[in-house]
Amino acid sequence: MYYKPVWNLNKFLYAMLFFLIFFQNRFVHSYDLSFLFQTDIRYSVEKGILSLGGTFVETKIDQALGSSAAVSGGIRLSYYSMREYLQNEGDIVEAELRNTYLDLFDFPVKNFELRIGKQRINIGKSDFFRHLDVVNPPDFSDELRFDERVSSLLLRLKWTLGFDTSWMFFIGPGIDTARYAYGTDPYRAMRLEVESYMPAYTGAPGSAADIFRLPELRAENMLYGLIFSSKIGKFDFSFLAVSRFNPILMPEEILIDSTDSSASIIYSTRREYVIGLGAAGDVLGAGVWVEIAAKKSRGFSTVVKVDGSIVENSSLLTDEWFFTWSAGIDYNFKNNGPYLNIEFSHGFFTEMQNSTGEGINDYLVITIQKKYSSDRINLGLSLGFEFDKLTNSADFDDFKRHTAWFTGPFFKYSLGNNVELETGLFWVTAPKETSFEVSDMRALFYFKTAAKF
Amino acid sequence: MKRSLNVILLFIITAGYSFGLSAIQIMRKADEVFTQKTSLSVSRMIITTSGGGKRAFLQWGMSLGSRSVNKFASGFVKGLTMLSVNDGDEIWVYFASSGRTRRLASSARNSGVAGSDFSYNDMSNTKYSKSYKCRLLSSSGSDYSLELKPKKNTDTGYSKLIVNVDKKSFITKKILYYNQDGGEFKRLLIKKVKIISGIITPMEFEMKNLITGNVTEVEIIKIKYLNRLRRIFFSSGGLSRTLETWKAVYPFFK
Repeated sequence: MYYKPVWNLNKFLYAMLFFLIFFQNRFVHSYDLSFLFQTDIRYSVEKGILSLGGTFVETKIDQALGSSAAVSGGIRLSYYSMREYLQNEGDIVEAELRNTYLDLFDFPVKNFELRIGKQRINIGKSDFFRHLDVVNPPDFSDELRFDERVSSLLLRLKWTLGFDTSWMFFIGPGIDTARYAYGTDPYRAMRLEVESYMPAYTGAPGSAADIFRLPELRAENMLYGLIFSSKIGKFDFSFLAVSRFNPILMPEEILIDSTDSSASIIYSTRREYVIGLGAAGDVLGAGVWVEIAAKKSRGFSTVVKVDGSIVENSSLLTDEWFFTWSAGIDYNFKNNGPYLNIEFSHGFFTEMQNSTGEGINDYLVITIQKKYSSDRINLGLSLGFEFDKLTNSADFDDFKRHTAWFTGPFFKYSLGNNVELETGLFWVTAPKETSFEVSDMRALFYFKTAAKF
Repeated sequence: MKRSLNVILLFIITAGYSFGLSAIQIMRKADEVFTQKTSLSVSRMIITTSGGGKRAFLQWGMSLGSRSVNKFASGFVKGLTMLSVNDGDEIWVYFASSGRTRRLASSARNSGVAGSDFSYNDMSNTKYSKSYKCRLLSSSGSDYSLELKPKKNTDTGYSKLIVNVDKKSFITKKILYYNQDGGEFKRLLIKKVKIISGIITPMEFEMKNLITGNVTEVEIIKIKYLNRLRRIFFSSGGLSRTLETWKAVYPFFK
């Protein structure tokens, strides 16, 4: 286990940031400090629960160090009262170190840049399903910001050739796992509700403890990769090759003790290879983009043991290559007309091919929006569909049973230079066998406020 | 006496030269005057809606050859950065909130920047003589009046422009923009011009949306012309550089 040293490093970075923010005027003359506050009230219609969600205050500081170096740092304090909605846990205040890094320009030689620290590497071309943004783990802590990524500790070296071509190499401990709204433990995975099926083995419900079995901090366990970006005609493209440990932990062993109806769930991860290509450009005035990711991870099984004896061994993942991809188009209608964005995706960006050959669904998101009054008012509607993978013999009833959809109208209003208000609705219609149904977000009203200074 | 003769001679030469210019030559000269030179600038943008609501943003800019980059330095859009490449053929936008850089589709370039009445196309280092066919409407008085229509397969977002160019200085004084339906859409007025380091520099300009009544004013607070700038700021990969980095490399922004 190697979280401890990294967590200590995080604490050190926190301390450095606080020092910079509170004492900057003692030793520097130029800095840029900004604050972002965001909160929203959500009402789950089906559950009848009113809660605060996505509430945080974020402080960012940028500081130049001479003409060839700079530091950037950000801390976000989040408040979650969604536990009741998600996991029946209490409210939690959580501190998160956002992008916090040191930049060295023209280092070690001209046209090279070195960045060390917590950072995000975004190369994805898509708007919703970014299959190539795999360097940083997904951040699922807020269901209304599903495409966020967690900042990761990385060393990144970039070599720029001319204006449009660059090579980027990065390496890091790859210690961050996907983030859920669980609060202060940044390494906690999505919890498996073992308690619900324990009675099948023990005759009674019991308690379960989580154990995380993660790779040790060794050279062979590092995350590393290479990105090449350039331009051909009206298209820019990026090629990516990454080797990492998948940030979504999965239960490797479930150890049930029938004598006291207790269980231990051992979560672990597995090395994954991703090769991807993304391109974006302009065709007849419309923006078009495509991302293709080929992924391969080691095979993965879940073993259930009762009193030391194996009672179940389920193969979850195969070790074969599989593809996920997305393609989209956007267009601004003439004379300040509406903006249309359509994106299709084969696979959610975290979706994996399971051992039965199933598991890759198709998705479609259509968004139309129109701005009024010098962009003060933004009115929009999103429609989303999930098409579960069907067999060749499937009929229309099967299609209906495996298709979920949501509708999300929204209204945004800018108040002055610094405040933005937003209200909207998510209405999900999801048959039982679909992934949308698992998200458990039937109908949700929200009212969001954001202020930036 | 000798001085008077010189002035008369200069007038005759200038007038004779100007009278002989075609519409495209006039527009090229006007482009030459207003094409952004290698420079650093700080400007203020004020948006006034027809209802009286006001918003103001600080904007930092750099120009290098056919490339220019603008970064918002205040308000909700702080950090939003635009790069214009090859006189506006390509426009890239960096969204500070998501940390992503995106190339704008040409249809999106006609939408307003940060709610202003300037479109991305208007803000880019556009050369009108390159994108439009020019026709001289009149040359009476102190101005040339030109009609500009987009060249074939060029989507400028406008069906026509009427441009007024000063006969002596070739400064563009006013542009009337027509929308795709042929109706009057926007009006640009150059309100103040200054000569800085020997270069004619527009210091204040105003864009009025004639349909909504909204007005966007831009005032150059300071500008400095240089011989060269670092190329790293003018690539799509360089847009994420912070305001602090701009300040560190160019103390002009402090």
